[in-house]
Amino acid sequence: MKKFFKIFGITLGSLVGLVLVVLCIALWLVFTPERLTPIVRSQVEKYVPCPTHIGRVELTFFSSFPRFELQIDQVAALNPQAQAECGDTLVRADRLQAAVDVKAFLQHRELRLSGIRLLDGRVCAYVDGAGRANFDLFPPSPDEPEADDDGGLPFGLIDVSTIELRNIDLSYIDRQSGMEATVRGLCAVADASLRPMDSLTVHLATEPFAVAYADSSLTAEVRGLAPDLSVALQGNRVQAGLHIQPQAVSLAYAGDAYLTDAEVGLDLQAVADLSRLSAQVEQLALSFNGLSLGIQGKASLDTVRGEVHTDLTYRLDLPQVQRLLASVPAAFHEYVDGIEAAGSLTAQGTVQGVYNDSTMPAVTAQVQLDGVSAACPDLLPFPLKQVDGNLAAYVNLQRDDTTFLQIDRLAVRTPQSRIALSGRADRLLSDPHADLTADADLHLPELAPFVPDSMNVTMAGRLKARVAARASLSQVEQMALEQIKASASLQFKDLAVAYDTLSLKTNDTRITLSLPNPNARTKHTGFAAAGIEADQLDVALGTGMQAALQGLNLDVETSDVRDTTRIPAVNLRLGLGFAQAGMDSMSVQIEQPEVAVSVAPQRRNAGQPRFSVKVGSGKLNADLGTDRVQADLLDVAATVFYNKNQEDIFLRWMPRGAFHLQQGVAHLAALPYPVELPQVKMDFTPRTFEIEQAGVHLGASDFNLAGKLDNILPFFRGDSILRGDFAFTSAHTDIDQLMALTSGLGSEEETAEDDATEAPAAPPAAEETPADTAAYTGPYMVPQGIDLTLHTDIAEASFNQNLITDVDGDVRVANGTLALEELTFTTPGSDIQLTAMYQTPRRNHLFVGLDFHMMKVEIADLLHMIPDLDSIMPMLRSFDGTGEFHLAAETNLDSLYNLKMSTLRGAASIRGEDLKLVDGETFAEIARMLRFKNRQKENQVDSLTAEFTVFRNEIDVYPFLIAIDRYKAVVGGRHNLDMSFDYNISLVESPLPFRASVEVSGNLDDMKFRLARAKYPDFYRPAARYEVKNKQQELRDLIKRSLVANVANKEE
Amino acid sequence: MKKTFLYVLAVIAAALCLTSCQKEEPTFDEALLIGKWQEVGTQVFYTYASDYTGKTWDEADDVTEAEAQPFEWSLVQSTLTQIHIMEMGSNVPKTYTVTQLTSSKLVYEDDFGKEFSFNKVN
Repeated sequence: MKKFFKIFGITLGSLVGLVLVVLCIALWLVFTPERLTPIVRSQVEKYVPCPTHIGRVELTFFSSFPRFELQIDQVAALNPQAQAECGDTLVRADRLQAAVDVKAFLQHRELRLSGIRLLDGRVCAYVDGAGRANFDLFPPSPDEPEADDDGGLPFGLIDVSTIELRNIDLSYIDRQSGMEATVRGLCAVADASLRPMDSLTVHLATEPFAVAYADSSLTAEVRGLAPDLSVALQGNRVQAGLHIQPQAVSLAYAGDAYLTDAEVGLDLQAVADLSRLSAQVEQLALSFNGLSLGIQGKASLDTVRGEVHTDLTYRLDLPQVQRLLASVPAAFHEYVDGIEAAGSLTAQGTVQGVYNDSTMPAVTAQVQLDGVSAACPDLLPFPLKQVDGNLAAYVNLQRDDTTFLQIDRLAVRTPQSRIALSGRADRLLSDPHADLTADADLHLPELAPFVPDSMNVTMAGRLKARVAARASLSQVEQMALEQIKASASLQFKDLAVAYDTLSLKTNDTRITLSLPNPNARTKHTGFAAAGIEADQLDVALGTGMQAALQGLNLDVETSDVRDTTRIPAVNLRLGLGFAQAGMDSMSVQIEQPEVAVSVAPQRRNAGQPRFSVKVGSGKLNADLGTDRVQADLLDVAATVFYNKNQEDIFLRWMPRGAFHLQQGVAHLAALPYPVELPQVKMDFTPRTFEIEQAGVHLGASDFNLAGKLDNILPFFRGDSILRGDFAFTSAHTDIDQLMALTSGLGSEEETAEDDATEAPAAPPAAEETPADTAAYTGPYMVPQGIDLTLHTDIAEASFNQNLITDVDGDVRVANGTLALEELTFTTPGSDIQLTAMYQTPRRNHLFVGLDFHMMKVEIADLLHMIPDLDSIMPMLRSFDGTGEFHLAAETNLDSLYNLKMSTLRGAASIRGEDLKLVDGETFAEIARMLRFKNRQKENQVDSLTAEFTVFRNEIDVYPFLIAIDRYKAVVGGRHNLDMSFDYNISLVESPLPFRASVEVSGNLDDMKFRLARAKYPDFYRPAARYEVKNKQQELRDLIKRSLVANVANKEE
Repeated sequence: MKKTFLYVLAVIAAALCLTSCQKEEPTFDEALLIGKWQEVGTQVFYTYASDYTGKTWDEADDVTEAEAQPFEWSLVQSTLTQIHIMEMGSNVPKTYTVTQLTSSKLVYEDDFGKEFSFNKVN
């Protein structure tokens, strides 16, 4: 055995030695460069159809054992016919090396090449303007039969383990298209292996080199390009990897630089299935000036259906927004001039679904903004700082109902303001519906630049706002507010706004808006609500007008007021702690004013509105310059029913409510005394107006009115008369003071009336012409169809320095008649009863009547109170004492209140006891003529009973008996309204032997006395009494009975 | 004294001589009074109805017949009494002495000698 190994060793060593010797001889003696170079040159010339240059060819074995390595120096392919920048060189290299694994080739028919190296070379491809290329070395031969290519390889394996290019320049120049591309200093190492039909691996690693491209308009340059490419093909499975480190890319188009040294990188790891036309992207990372885009996932192509199936995720990182902004080409700088931005942005999401002509895959995105800041003076007057946000979106073109944008948070800050937005928007592609909430803290002066300078508006203060809204785009476009849900809460702090001369200031004001109204007080006011709360609100207009409101609280809720087919429902409540307003010299101060106004459909008639108003206040003080009004309490509450179908304005507005005033005082410049209203309380309905209490203090007078006005609504409908019953009470009424107070009021009207009075009476026929009606306001016309009664109860009244007490009676307006009914009162000189009547059947035919009774009246007081009586019955001046006086008179008046003398009627009765004659001059003349025994200036008259009547301009004094001295005389006669008279004093009992009489005629300025035959000789004479009674005495009794009848009625 | 007595007797004798019988009062037919009368020279109207009511108005004062004031009347021999009825409840009597009454003419005078003449208008 040992021998065997010895022999085998010696044999093997001999063989190896022999081979080595053969190789040495072949390499050093046979395959020397000098022998090998010509061989290669000749073989190249056979296969290469262009001129070539081969400098030196060397074959090595030991240095590349076990492979043979061929090294060719100074190799070049030439195209001498070409005229180009490339010259005649198509390809040139200083050295070309390659190694072949001879053993693999011999044993396995595998072509394993390694160490292929091309050093310091240059490739220049050129196409001239005629389209001739210098690399077109193999013109096609149509006669050459196609090679029998079965698709297989002559080797079981082609393995190119290493291909190395070092310092290679590549140029491609196309003068026809004006394109020029160059690669400088390419250094690359590639490994590749190929097995027939099922396996191929390629790996290409390069060192940084430069690539340039240029054509007529586009120039591009990439410096430091060093791609690392690996491809592995295993059957239908291809695994590829490409990594390109970020390098400087420059791009210019039409002279404009779009990229300048932009950092662009690429990293791709993917696996593709060629049979399924699908690819799994394990990583695709693109970078551009700090912007990175990463994609992972799977995509496949369905050639049958012509669609692409995607299931990808992506992530976009922009850590420095300012770098992206800086990448904007110079050609577009004008669009971003002045814009500054910084911060980071991240977006990630998925792309899933089918892409074809009609469908798009669904896309999700999650966007995050961190610390982004931006400034664009042209768009915003202030920079945006610290923009942070987190947003999510889902877009599916096939199902828009699933599409949404979710804003988890989007916050923006300005130098002094802050805005945050959150919410969600759905159906982005059809009718976007948003549910958004915004919170803002705004520094209002920052917003001032948004207001046009022409408005001259200045603002100060802060606004804190929270606004939430749920609405779709179609709802907003159609202003379908009934479908929109929105709310807002605004809080103004230290607000100061000035617009021209109008200014507004408030320390703390809150404004709320709700759409719809979540807390509706009625079922109709759920549409919207608004509220304002302010601790202090100051408003001024110029320097003349200002208002200050404290504790403002305003609430408004409403139905949809845009719906014109329905009556809107609105509730408004305004409350204030204190309100003050002033304008020039006028000012108003109100404590705790409250106003509540509501509008709603009527319950029984939804087509008509119902208005409710409540106004109340505490202390009120209004200074109106010359006038001043005060009150401790004011409450007004009213509900008004509106009926548009009624023509009469009163029937259109049906009020119901109450009025309450306490301690009201009005200081009026026209009155020297304040008008005090201690208590005014009244209720009113469409049917009844009831005054519970209405007190007035004016100077020395006080009044109180209470009562009820009824049948108001039926009256205006024409169904019934208006009935009123009021009680007017007064502890004291100073009539003199009231007349003095009211004297001169409305003097302009009175002047006009005076002028009209002085003018000649208008012809009756023309009184009711439209022109006269317009020019002349006419007399007071007593309204028809009403029955109003005012029961007066005045404890005492002072008039003309007389004190009138126990004034009791009724003032009544009924059926066109204004009447004082049996008004009784007491003066120091008499108990008086007065009934007066005023009727207005037509404008130029008025009626006034008087029924006047004075009991136990001093004659002097009577004349003092009724001075006109002296004209009618002048002899009364001659009497002194106490008597009764009864008077009834009536007449018609024209429209100017002138007497119609033809209608004047009157009757009076005077009864006196223990009277005295006091008129010295008249009495003296009568006494002298009748030879009175006692001619003293005061003569006792036992009794006096006289009646007189007025008929037109005639005053008839019926014969009456008076007893003076030793005489009894009957006095009678006529007194005319022109103050002329004709009296006869007939002696019926005297010492004289004949029946003498005295006639007194003429007028008061020119009295004539003369003795005459007795006109009434038998009057009051017992013998003739019966006869007399049948004539004049009956008439006197008739007059007297009719006059005192009313007194009797009163007593009853 | 004797002389004075003679004077008195003379006066009495003269008085007795001057005393005459009372003039007989004429009588007028009140039927002639029924109707409408207008005062001569004026626009004053009176109407006398058979039920002894009447009314008066003055159209110069823009008073129509419908607005006339009522009265009651009586005619006894030549004494015409008109009692004007006031709305205030009192009465104003007026008496006149008729001096002429025909179917078309009415003349009367009051106690103070004031005469009123009327023409019948229907």
